This record gives sequence, structure tokens and C-alpha cells, in this order.
Amino acid sequence: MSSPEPLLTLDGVSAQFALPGRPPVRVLDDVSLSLRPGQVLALVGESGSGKSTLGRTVTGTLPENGRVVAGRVTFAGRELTGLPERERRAVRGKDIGYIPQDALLGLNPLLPVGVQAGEPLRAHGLAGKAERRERVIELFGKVGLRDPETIYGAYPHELSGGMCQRVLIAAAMSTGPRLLVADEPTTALDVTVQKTILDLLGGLVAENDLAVLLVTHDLGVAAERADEIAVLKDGVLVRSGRTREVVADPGDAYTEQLLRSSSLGFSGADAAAARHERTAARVPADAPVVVRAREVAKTFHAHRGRTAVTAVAGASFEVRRGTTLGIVGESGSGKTTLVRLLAGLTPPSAGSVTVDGEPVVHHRRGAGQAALYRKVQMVYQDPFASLNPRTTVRSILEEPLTGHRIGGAAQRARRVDELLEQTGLPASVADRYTAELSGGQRQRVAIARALAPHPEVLVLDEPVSALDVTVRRQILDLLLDLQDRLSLTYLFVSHDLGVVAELSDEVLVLRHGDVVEHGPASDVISRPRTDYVRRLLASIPGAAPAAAAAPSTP
Amino acid sequence: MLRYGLLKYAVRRLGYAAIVVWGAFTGAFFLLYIVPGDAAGGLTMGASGGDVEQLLAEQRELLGLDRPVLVQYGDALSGAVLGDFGDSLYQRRPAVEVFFEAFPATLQLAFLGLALAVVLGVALSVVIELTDWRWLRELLVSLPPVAVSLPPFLVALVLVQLVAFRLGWIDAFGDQTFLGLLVASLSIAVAGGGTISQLLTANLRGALTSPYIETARSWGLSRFDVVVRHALRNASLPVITALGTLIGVMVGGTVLTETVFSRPGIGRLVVDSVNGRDMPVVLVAVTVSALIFVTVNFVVDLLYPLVDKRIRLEGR
Repeated sequence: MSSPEPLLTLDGVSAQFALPGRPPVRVLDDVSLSLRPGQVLALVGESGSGKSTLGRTVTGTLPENGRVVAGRVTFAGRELTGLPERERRAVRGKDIGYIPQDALLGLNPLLPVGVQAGEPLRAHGLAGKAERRERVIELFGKVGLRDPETIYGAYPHELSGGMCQRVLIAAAMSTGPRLLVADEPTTALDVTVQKTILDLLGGLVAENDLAVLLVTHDLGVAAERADEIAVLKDGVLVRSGRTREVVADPGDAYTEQLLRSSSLGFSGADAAAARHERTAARVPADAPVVVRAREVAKTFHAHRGRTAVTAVAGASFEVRRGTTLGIVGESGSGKTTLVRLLAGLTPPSAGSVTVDGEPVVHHRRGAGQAALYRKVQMVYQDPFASLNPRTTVRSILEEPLTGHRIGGAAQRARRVDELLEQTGLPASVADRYTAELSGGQRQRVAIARALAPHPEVLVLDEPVSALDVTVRRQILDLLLDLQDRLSLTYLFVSHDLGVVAELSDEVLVLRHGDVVEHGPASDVISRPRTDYVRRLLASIPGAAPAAAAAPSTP
Repeated sequence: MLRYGLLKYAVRRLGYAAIVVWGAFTGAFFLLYIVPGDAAGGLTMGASGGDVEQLLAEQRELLGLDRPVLVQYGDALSGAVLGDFGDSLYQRRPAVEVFFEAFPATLQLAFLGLALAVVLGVALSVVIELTDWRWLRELLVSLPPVAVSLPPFLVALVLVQLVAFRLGWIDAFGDQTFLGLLVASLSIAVAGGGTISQLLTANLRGALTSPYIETARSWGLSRFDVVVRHALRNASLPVITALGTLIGVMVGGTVLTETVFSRPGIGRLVVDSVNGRDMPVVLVAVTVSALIFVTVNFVVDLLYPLVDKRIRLEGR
């Protein structure tokens, strides 16, 4: 049972950022919270809600232009706010551990991960060099890294995202902290990996009577993992309380909205059934086949002593106009290679792909593929990386039109307005740069760009994985709506079977390049034949039936 | 397997290196050829009377300068490949010998200059990141652009004025002590150090905003550890690239420095040889400089994968 004394309390904390030439921006406004040992407090909110800033006021790592202007942060009976940096540093990384968001970027690319995991011990003078090595290797074993000795000397780029996150958890745990601040610890990971990492954290909490401040945008994750939930919006605490109470009675419009966007209580079977009805009402059963793949395969040749890798081993499928094929699998399952084959970006080792009866051919310099790209367009995962930051939205949207020589200047300008309207963007966005837009708006621009040349097929490569849950919901709704209106054919790639269930008519499940299941979405999801698919379904955070068992207090 | 890849890489690099050195050799040869005047004119300087024309022709024949240019070039090139650049036209002994007598002093100066530039540049950049005082940081940040824009001869002259004449620590003419060498190399290190510091400060800034720095801070690392252990390594990659070109600047800078400090070295020799059209000596100097340049750049490329394990040489 939890002890009555709170370990961490925030009392009316306000924080603001100074911006050159502008009035300071208040990112936290009078936030009060408390957290007891052995408990998980989830801090939930969208990007920009101030939840990460709150995490940083606890660790004392606000950026140079940020500061706490009011209130107190008390940890283990000691006030942290106002402590000189030297004393603050003695607590940071020793009694308060921190787990960053993007594990792959969160580790120094030039140092072995073992050395990095030993840094907290070194910084606080807790162990000598040899002892550090020993302790880190032991910890690596504890956090579930196989072959810790080898991993000790490995570099981050040699490890997967999940492994890097385990390294960071080991580093944070090395000093025996009493509080962990985990800032979106699983956002950059596959859902299956997310589950194992969250399980690991849960185990550590129980074993070490640890308190965890779990920062997340996903109320589904929060509801499944936390004892208490605090919802932040624009720096203000709008709802807080025991998880069960918050979920049962949000009592606040914003929390309600977050709850609806999350996959809490989500049933893959229901979603697939709903999708089935929606498509049946709209698409005739004899709609023409637009995309057809026959035994398409891709093998990457052996590279100096390494074995050849079969990225895709003979996939066959047909996609009818107006329907969606969902392609599901974990990282490394061959999803991306399959997408590249479909878009003619790489030549198949065997088999063929046709779009509208025309074979998809690969040309090294893309010559002769213009005709294909009038029919097939791509939307990528990260709208921050896939849009040119140096040009305006208008020129981004006009580029495919000029590239395909569609229309004159006036027609193009009209088409841009039309595209913005279709994707739910205000017309004023046209003359802005993408840096001024939010993640959701950027993804809308990316979709608008794909729609510009009136394609028949959209290849959607993890289009919502980089987005907050609320934004994710909006983008999925937009995609559904566009498909209805424009009779688009989708190839929807995701690691998240929950997202796929909502949008797909057929599902293709890939594992290590093999097609392990293929069939109508409702069949695959409600009657999975393989453990792999069962595992993918179980990884959806907060989904039924997991949500049926309410989280218990330790 | 890996060894094989590395070997292939080395062979390819060697091929490039040969092309660079050949290019420098050929460029120098024809540049010197099209410049009006030749060694015969230099050797017969001061001669007067009616037989000057005949004297010139005799000298040209003696030196082989009357042959077609391509024959001369072919001769010079085939000799150079075997390491024989011919005799210096003035000193009547092998040009290689003449050159290498003076070369060690210059090499010492250039490499000490480079080392000083690295030490000064890196130290300045680190101090800029570590200082808590805003005014000091602003002041230090403004130093590298100033250092880069100072003409090297001016730096050299000021240093001579200050260290030799005012303080009297070194001899103004051909000082042979280590301190003399240090002061001379400092004069070529200033601009190089400025370049390094400018590059490194910008890269450190970038590295310090990386997520892994956030992680390191959250582990409770001191500012010094964060900057030196974690950010500096990442920020130093572009600087390593710059070293390859800086060594060229350093070797070039020695010519001026040696003149100002009246130090022995190839600086004097090269200027005299170009003026006197002493083709063999000029060709040795150019070829050796090109070799140094190529070697340093090769070493720089070998350094990359040691610093950044993500880089694989064979792929490049």
C-alpha cells in the first residue's frame, strides 16, 4: 500500500518562457499536484499543453529562457524551486530519474551505450570505472536486454528503439532513484514494443516502491498504466483524480475529447464491423481492381559477409477501387519495402505490381514514371520532415501540378484553394511556411499535396504515427471522408492494428517479410489465426478487454 | 571480408591521390612555362654586349629549354615519377636535395601552427559554452571572426614587434629557440584557430540543443561534462574535415611567416625559385605540398570512423 506522505508535491506552480521581442509566454499556470511512492501519475495533454515543461520543472532542466515564476516544487520534504544549480544537480539523475521521449535520439550517437548508462553513477560519484561497468551490465540484464556484455559496447545505431529505451531506463534506475519522470517514453516506438516497455516500467514501480510521473498524450496509455491522472490544457490543470474516476466521469469537455480520441475501450472487431458497413454502402461489390500484386518479392543481396535479407517474400493481393488495404507489421517486418515496391521506388526481385492494369516499373532516375505518379501518390509518416521548410504551402501544393503540367497559373491557384478546402485547412494557410503550422495541419498539407494531381491511389505510410491522439483522430476522420468523397483507393501502412481496423477493408499482416495473415479486416481482427496478430491486438493501449479490468492500486 | 573492403577503399583513395598530385605538378609546370622569361634569362642576368642573344641560346640548349614544351614536360614528369626532379638550375645540385635541406624547418612550423590552431580554437569554443557571464561570452564569440579577418603578415609583424623588439624574448632575425618557433607558428595559428573556433562554436550550439544533451543534463552531469564529454565529440566532426584544408593554408602561410621572422625554410626558396624560373625546385615544392595535402586528407578520412562509428569507409 502507498504511504500517506507524498514524495513529490507541486504547489501552485507557474512557469513561463521569455521570447526575444515578445511578452513572456506562460506555459504553466497555477498547477498543483502530488505523487506518493509506489504510484504512477499520468500527466496527459496535447502537444503544447505544458506537460513536458511540467516534467522539466520537476527535474530542473527547463531551457535557458524558461523559469518557474510562482509556486513550489517539493521533493521528499525538500523544496527544489530556488535551490542553487549545484544542489539541484545533486538530486537530478540521482533521486529523480528521467526517461526521454525519443530513445534513439536520446542517446549520444558517438559513445557506447554502456558508457552512457554509467554516466549517472559517474556524475554522482557513486562508483568507480570497473564497478560502473559491472553495475551497468547487471542493470542491462534486469531491464530485459539480452546479452548485456555485448550491448555494453554497442552504439545506439546498432540497437532498436526499444533496446535504446531499455538502456535509458537502466541509466535512470542505476542510482536507485525514488522518482522517475518519463516524458512520452513510448511515443516513438511500435505498439508492441510500447507494451513491453510500459510493462517493464510497471514492474520497476512495484519492485522498488518507485513513484512515476508519466507524461503522455494518450489517455489510453494513462488509463491502463496510471493510478492517477492529471489532464493539462494550455498550461492549466483541467481535471485530476484517480484514474477510475476520471475515466468514468471525465466531467470536463476537454478530458472527454481526449478520452474519445484514445483507444480506451476500443474494440478492433467493432471498428472493423463499422468499417465493413460503411464500405458496403458506398462501394459496389464488383468495383474494379486498381492495384494488383502478384507474388511480389524483394531480397536485399548479401553485403560483405552478411546474409541476404528477404524483406518481402512473395506477397499477392488485389485492392478494389474505393477500398483500403491495411498493411500491418512491426518495425522491420517489410512494410516499407512493400510500399516502395508498390510505388515503383525499388525494383522487385520477383513478381509484379500493376496499377489500373499498367505494370509498375522502376527506373533508376524516375524517368517514365510520371504517368504512375499521376495515379499513385504517397503520404509519409513525419510531416515535419516530408515538407520543404523553405517554401510556402502554396508552392508545396502547386509543385505536383507544375510537375505534371496540369492547368495554367490561374487553374493551379484555384486548385490550391480547392485542396485546402478539401483537407479542412483555412485558405490563409496558403501563404505560410510549414514551420508556422501544427503537426496536424502539416499532415493535412501533405495529404493535400498527394491529392493535387487527382490520384486514384494513396499510399499512406504510417500517416498518423507521429501525431497526438486527438490530432490522429482528426486525420483519420479526414482520410475516411476523402475516401468517401473521391472514391480513393488506400494502401494504409501502420504498426498499429487499432488504427488499421478503423480504415481497412482487407488486412495484410507482415512478419519478417512473410505474409502471416491476409483477408477481410473483420475476419483477421475478430478471429486472428496467429499469435502474432493476437499480440498486435493486445498491444493497443487501453483497448478492450484490457480496459474491462480497471487498473488496481498497488 | 571487411579487410577486403578497406583495401578496395585504400586503392581507390590512392588513385584519387595520384590524380591530385599529378594535377598540381602539371598545373605548376605549365603555369611557370607560360609566364614570360625563363631560367636562361636569370642565369645570364647582367651580361651585356652583342652576344647576349647567342649566350641565351647556348644556355637554353644547355638546359634543354629549347626543346618542344611537351618533351620537356614528359621528361620532367617521367623523372618526377622516379623521384628525380633534376638539378636546380642555379645551385647545380639535385633539386630534391636543395628542397629537403630547407623543408624540415617549414614542416615543423606548419604542423606546430596547426596544433596551436586546434588547441586555441577548441579551447575558445569550450570556454564560450562554459562561461556563465554573458558579457564574457559575447566578447569571446566576437573573437574568431576578428582572428579570421586579420592578415597573417600583420599578425606576424605585430608579434615580431611585441615579442622580439619590445619584450626581447626572442631574436628578431632567425631565432633558433623553441620560443622563437612557437611565436612564429602562433602567427599562422591565429587565422586557423579562428576558423576552427567559428565552426566549432556553431556546431557546439547545435549539438547542445540535441535530445541526447537533454538526457545527459537529466542525469545530473555538470556543465563541463555535458559540453566536453557529450557535445564536443559530436560538434568536432566538421572541424576534422576543415583540418584537411587548413593544413594547406598553414603551409602557404609559412612563406610569409618565414620572411617576417627571417627563419630558414622553403618560404624563401620557393619565392626565389619562382622568380628565377628554377623549374625543378618549384616542381619539387609543389609536388611535396600536394603530397602533404593528400596525405592529411586521407588521415582525416581515416579518423572519421574512429570518432563516429556510424561511418563506414568502404561505403564512401
